Amino acid sequence: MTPRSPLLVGLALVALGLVAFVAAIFVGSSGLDAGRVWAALVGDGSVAETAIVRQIRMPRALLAMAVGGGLAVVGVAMQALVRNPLAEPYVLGASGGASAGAALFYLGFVPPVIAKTVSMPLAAVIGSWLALVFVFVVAKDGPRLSTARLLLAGVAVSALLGSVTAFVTFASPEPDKLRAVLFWLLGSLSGAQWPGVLLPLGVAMGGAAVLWALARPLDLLATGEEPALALGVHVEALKRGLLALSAIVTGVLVASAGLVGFVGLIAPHAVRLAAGPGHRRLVPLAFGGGAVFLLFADLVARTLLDGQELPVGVVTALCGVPFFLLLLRSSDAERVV
Amino acid sequence: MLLRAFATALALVLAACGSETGPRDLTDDLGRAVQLETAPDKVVALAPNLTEMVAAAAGVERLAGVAIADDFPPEVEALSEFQSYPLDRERLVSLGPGLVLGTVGVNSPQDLDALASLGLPAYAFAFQEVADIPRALRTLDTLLASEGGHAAAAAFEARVAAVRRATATFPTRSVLLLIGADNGTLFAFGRDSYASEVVRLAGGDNLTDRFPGDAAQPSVEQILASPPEVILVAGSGDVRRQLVESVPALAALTAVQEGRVYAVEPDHILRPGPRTADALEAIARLLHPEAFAAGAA
Repeated sequence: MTPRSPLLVGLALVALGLVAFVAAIFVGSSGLDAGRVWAALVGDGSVAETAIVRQIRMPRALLAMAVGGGLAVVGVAMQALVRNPLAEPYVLGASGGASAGAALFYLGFVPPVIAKTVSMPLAAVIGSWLALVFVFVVAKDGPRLSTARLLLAGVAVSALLGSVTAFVTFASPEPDKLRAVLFWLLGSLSGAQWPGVLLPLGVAMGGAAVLWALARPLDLLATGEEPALALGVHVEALKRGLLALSAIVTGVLVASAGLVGFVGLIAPHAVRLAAGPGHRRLVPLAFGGGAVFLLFADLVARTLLDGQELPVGVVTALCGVPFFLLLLRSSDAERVV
Repeated sequence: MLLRAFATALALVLAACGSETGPRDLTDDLGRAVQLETAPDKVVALAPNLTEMVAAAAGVERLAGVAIADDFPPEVEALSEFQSYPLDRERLVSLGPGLVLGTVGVNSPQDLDALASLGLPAYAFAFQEVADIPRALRTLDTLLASEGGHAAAAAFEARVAAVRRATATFPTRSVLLLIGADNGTLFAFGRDSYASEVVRLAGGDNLTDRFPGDAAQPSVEQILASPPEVILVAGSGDVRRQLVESVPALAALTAVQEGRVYAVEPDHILRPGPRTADALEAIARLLHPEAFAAGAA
């Protein structure tokens, strides 16, 4: 497939993003009609209407964009890092590490460092980083990274961390905390509120900016480590930086929205098909694609069942797993490093 | 305990002092500060036991809506519903309650704080012991400026006292109280739970009292090693068969062989509320039928 104009793709994403954002602000379980939503937006709504639109729907839509965009960018970083299209934070255990770290902190097994609002994302970042390092060490086959080992190590580490999370949940005597842990396991944007969305938003956008600035070395890395090295890229430093970036962004996003899988797979691939593999275009477009995808996924999660809400992680997995399997079957995945 | 009693007393004094005239500063069972301008017209409860208690204290008409799982009293099924887990804040706010009530252990403190940050006061109740049930009913009267709570609390306490009188002179019987019997895992209550206290008040000795905390999961081995005289199951249907089918090893227990496995209405024992007195009376009759023989009680 020949890449279309990246400008067109960008415009299409902006248009879709606007539609999704407006829908997220105007649609909800309380069934406010459009006139009332507008009144709340311009400051003429009742106290309840204003709270619904400005303090519930808006932060939620922003969190969806931050989490979707951020995870898509992490997907791009990981795919560049291992030069494999199947890499994704959920698949490689980074998300599982983050949720185990957050759960350990939340249930009191890890002491708070500064304030709770900082400590929990920090615990998630450390968990995510440890999980990634572990997966990479296991997958390393001499100088190469074996795809089979990488994926299997990701599966194994995810299972291990899942049982760590289950263990701390089981060991916790407090049932209300158990529910909070369940939230991490399923992934949900339902808890979004001001000012809590600002940290994930900032980290996701910051991560995208850093990765965008690294576009040229990333393009060179895509041609192989040796050619990149020959062209003056500090490959080891770049790889370590990508690992740290992935851990930071994944950790902060998982601490605020739980395990939302496969966004990092779907968004970068869809964008690559449409606009080509160059990172200067891929990074911002993948961010946009992920943001739009998760906004729509959350709309589905909120409206599919009347009066009830699905965890958004369920929706992304339902879309993402078939996509993952397709990629696995395609010749693309065979192009092992 | 003392603190709690003091807080309740303080709340009552405040209520008695014509508090309708100004904002009231209250402290809920989580120690959170809750400010109420006046008694709210409508409230919502995030847990079924509190919906039931609001209905008892102030009437169903004071409920702005109910959570999906709520089904008692039957009139609440006609009210607007919202999802309580994960909490659908939007629907909840749109129902327009002036106060939200939560149960510690069922609702997360974050959910309550999130509502408070939307300007909606949220009050948490803890049900750690049986006395917390009448205490909560009286607190509801304070919060809602209602009167039914005191009457319901007094009636509840009278029923508890009657059961204690009836069973006091009989030796305790060893009991295993299980939550459901058809899922293979034995879920039970720990010694710090109100449900275990219900068993003690009914003249029983709950075997899982060796476990601290609210919840316990005894092993089959532990149960076989100290066999209960009576097994109570919060469930319905033929609980003896369910138990033997899901945990065949328990068929060796004398209580199972002699048919002393009884169902207790789950809502009565699992939802701390006025109907917990029904569970208490039912359990007392199962453990000590002689105490309730004609005229004995």
